[in-house]
Amino acid sequence: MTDLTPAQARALTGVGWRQPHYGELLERRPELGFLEVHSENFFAAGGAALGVLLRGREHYPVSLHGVGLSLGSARGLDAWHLDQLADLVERVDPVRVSDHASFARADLHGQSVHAADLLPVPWTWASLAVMARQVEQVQERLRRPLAIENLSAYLQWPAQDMGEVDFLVELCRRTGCHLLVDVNNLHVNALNAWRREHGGSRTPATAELLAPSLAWLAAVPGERVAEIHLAGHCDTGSLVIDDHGSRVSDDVWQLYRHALAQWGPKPTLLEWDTQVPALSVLLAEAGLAADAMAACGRREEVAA
Amino acid sequence: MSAGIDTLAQEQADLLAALWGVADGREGYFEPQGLEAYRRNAGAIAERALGAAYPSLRQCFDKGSFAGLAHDFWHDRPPRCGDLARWGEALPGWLADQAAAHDLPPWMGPLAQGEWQLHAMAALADQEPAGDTLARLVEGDPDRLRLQLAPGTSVMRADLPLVSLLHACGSGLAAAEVPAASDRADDEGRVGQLIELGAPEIALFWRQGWRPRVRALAPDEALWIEALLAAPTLGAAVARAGPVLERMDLTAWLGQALESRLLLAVRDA
Repeated sequence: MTDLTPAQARALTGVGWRQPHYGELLERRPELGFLEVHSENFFAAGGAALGVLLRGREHYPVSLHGVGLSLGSARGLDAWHLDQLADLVERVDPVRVSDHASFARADLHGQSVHAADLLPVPWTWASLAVMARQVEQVQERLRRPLAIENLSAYLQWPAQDMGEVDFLVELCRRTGCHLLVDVNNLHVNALNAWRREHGGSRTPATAELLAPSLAWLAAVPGERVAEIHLAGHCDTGSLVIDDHGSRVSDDVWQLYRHALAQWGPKPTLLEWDTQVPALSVLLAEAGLAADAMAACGRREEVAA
Repeated sequence: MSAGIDTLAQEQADLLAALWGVADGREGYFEPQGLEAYRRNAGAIAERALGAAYPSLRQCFDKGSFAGLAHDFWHDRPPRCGDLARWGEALPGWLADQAAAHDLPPWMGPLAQGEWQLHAMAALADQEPAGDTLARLVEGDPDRLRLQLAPGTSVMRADLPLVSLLHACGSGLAAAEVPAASDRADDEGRVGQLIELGAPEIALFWRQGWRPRVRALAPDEALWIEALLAAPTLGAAVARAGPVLERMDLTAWLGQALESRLLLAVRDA
């Protein structure tokens, strides 16, 4: 595995650029590999938000991360949404474009509604066919591959033909899309699955808890992975929620290091969307990701 | 496969129905804990999105009441597209419908209408002012020229002191004029008082650079700007405004309009 210098590792590390940090980041211009923004926040034809994004783009590569394409909707894609995204891609020339393996659009009261959330799709052949067709549609329009992110899901569909990772790998095979692997989402799903199965009566050993996520990561070919996401989660008592509102947990760092050891260095994003901290805190977390990336090559060499 | 896709469409519609609390044939199909997590998230999203579009209105409610309003509106008028900045346009009319049933003060609808105007303007395409184009007015034929006004320019005739109300809540002002949070009319009582004491105002909305602005218009200026907005040429606008222009100092108006970026350029019609 190629060893990375700290500077090379930082060049692969980005942060979610949110409104509280717009001005400060442009002023300080910290050493970062890229900025990630939510595409839908910049669908306006003009105005301050888009102006700020374009200023950021003058200094950093930008990763456009969508939360609303609804790629798994059996109702089809929203042509208006795709038009807006295509316009934004044209303006920003992003380093990556991504969205989620989810749906949001469906009929309600006889009209098409967008639930504004990342709702899980069943891991079925029908669902795969829908998503593959729509991923291809988007890729053809944008003339570039999409990266598809795995979800944290709080509902399980009773009927499933396969597991999530098999669904996503097959989606990549059919469409040529990439994966955006959110290791925090993997861990949140593992924690909630544990609670569904065992209740709150027993605290699992770390190895036991991480095992399903490690198996998930092992099933993904490294060449398909375009980006890794890291974030914090919160425990509400009954469910663990992927709220992007705190530091990355130790278990998630462990999964991240494992993923790097398996796939090698990958562009990595630090997301923090709620209770957004001072920029210095966010940058320090991103620095930890860069440190882990720089260390993964060295660790491999020692092991070899 | 199409039967599979039809089934999938139905399953997805059923999940939305469950999230919106609409009775369906899948009672108990979805895990209640999971449904509740998504509903809680929807509530937070609704409050955040509506609060971003209607900051003054939000100030007039206590936090719990505004969250309740956002929840009810989300259920009655769910988002139709994936850009939440576009959700909420129907709120002024919805508030008017709710006013009687929920004992809401009648000014909320018009206030919301003004706020939406400001919110929507923020997303319009940018237009830069041209250089020194006023000189064209000296020699040009008014029937072949037009005044290009700022994006989103519009006139709203309210039957309440709409501009004073928006300004008191900190909306639509120049950056330097925004009052400190402690000086804003941030409760229903103070807003009600303002409305009781104030006279109806004509509001001018325009975008000053990236900043959505609103100010009060005198009746003559309102007629003049309405004429500029409606007429295809400057000559037609002058004819439409008629005697109004005899009562206005047009040279002074042009200078002020340029300075405030209400007027961007003199263009060919």
